[in-house]
Amino acid sequence: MKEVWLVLQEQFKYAPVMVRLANYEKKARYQNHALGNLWLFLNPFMQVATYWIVFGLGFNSSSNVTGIPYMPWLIVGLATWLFINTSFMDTTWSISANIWQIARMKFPMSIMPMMRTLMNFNAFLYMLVIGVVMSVFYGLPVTFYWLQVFYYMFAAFAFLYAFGIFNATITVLIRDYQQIMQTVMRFVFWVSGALFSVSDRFGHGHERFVRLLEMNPFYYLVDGMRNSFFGHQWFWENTYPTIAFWLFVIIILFIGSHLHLKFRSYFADLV
Amino acid sequence: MPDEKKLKVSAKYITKTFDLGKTKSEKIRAILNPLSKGPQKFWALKGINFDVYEGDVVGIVGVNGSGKSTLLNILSGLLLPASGELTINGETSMLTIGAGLRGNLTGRENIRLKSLMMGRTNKEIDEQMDEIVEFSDLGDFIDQPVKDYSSGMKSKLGFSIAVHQDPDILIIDEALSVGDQTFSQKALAKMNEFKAQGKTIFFVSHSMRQVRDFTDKTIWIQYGEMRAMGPTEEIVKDYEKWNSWFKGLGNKEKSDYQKQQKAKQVSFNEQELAKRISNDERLSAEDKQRLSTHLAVGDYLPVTSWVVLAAATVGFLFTIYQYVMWG
Repeated sequence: MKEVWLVLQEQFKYAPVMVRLANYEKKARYQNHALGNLWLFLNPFMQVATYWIVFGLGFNSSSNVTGIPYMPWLIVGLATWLFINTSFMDTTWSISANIWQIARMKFPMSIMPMMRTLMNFNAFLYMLVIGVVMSVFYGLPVTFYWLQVFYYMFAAFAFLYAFGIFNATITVLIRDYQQIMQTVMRFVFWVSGALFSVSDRFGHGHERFVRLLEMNPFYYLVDGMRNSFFGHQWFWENTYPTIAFWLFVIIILFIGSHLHLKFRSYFADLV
Repeated sequence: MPDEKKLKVSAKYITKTFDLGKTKSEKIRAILNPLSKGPQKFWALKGINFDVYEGDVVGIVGVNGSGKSTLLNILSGLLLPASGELTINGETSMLTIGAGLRGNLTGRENIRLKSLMMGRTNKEIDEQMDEIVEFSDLGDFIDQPVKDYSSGMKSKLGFSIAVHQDPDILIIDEALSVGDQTFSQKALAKMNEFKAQGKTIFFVSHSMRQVRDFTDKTIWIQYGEMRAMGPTEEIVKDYEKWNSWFKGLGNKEKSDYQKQQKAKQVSFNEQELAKRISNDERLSAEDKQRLSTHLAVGDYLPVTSWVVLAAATVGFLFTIYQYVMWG
């Protein structure tokens, strides 16, 4: 328990430093680009546009909820997926790429994964707002279920925090981890339900298999975010997936923070 | 009286080994058990001992590859020693050539980034910005990307940032050797100011003139060993004497000598270290025991954590089973 407590304490104690750094890095990232910070928005926007052209127009996909138009359904889910996926991959190199710069500074390395996550948060919010505005224009009702968006955002941050520390530490210890994860995430993309509903693809008779595929934290977050805007269910009514999700976060947090604390004094030797 | 001065940095038999194994798993194994057998180790530091007090400006001299940078990296907290004890009272700030600046950012942006990393707020940085820019002498170049800077300009910027972070212990690794005379004077004045405030400075340079100008004590490190520590005048004279002796050797003798010294750094082992420690009369038996064993790596996962982890895993698997099978 101690190790989890320690990294959490570091996280809260150095949260102001982390926020300032994230804000600054965000500005610095597109500093030399003619379009500057517009890229923060353009990148995800172009991605959604591409997927919409291919799957919305080309393959004529539809949402998994009857009566919900594909476009807002796609944007809300895809925005969530892009945020989680980008942050997830960014956390893997968050420590190893900057070790020489950050090891001597006055903040603990454990805040670096969260800092990377935070940098991607704005783009996510922009996308989400577009999706929501679109759904309102389509005439979809505004409900109390929308409030769940805060729960799912919190869940996404908790998941990325726990997995971020784990990812960043393992990447230092085993370089190949980053490559492996890149491949894994390409697969996870198709079971995250970001583009189309997983259950639709399999049809009847495969319910158990579909439920197994849907038991991944990425699907939980993507689907949950959609449920907030288009569904009629509270997150606690989705009992088993919710319990499994949080248990998974706890397990990863334990392992990640333990390995991180055990090896972090040696990161510079290992990179 | 030197006794009244506050102890700033105390190093007791600090060692650092780099293992000559090639694969990562060998490295990880070596970290888990640093003084064990296994892949051959290179002793970059073979037990360094010194005490440094507030207001001391300490030069560190030695030929290339003698372990100076390793020692500084340990002092700055980048590396952990393999054994020994290091006590540091205060915050350190390290300045190296290149100074960890980011090439695509301008000088001004680098100042902000580094200051943010040192825990400053944007408001504090705004207040200090003009002073740092002024001190750096970079003029209009401050708004140019750092990749267009000369090495001298980089070192000026790095030094300006580092001294304005107000560290208790400033560590300078060769960074001033590329600056020009005017800036050296300015840096010297700043360092004297620090000294008067009771701060401590470690200064590494190959320029004996700078070491003489800047420091009052000097540590001479040779092939991982501390040859001597004392007043700068004395040590630098000895070091220069050794240097001219070494230069006088023929090429073959030189390389034989170096090979021989390096071989000693490979053949050195923990028994020799323990022998050395046991000869030290200032230490108690307990200290001797502690200093000759390696630093343990992190904690093992405590029992409570194992229990929580196991319970969470079982619960996780059960939940999946429930959901997948029965919905």
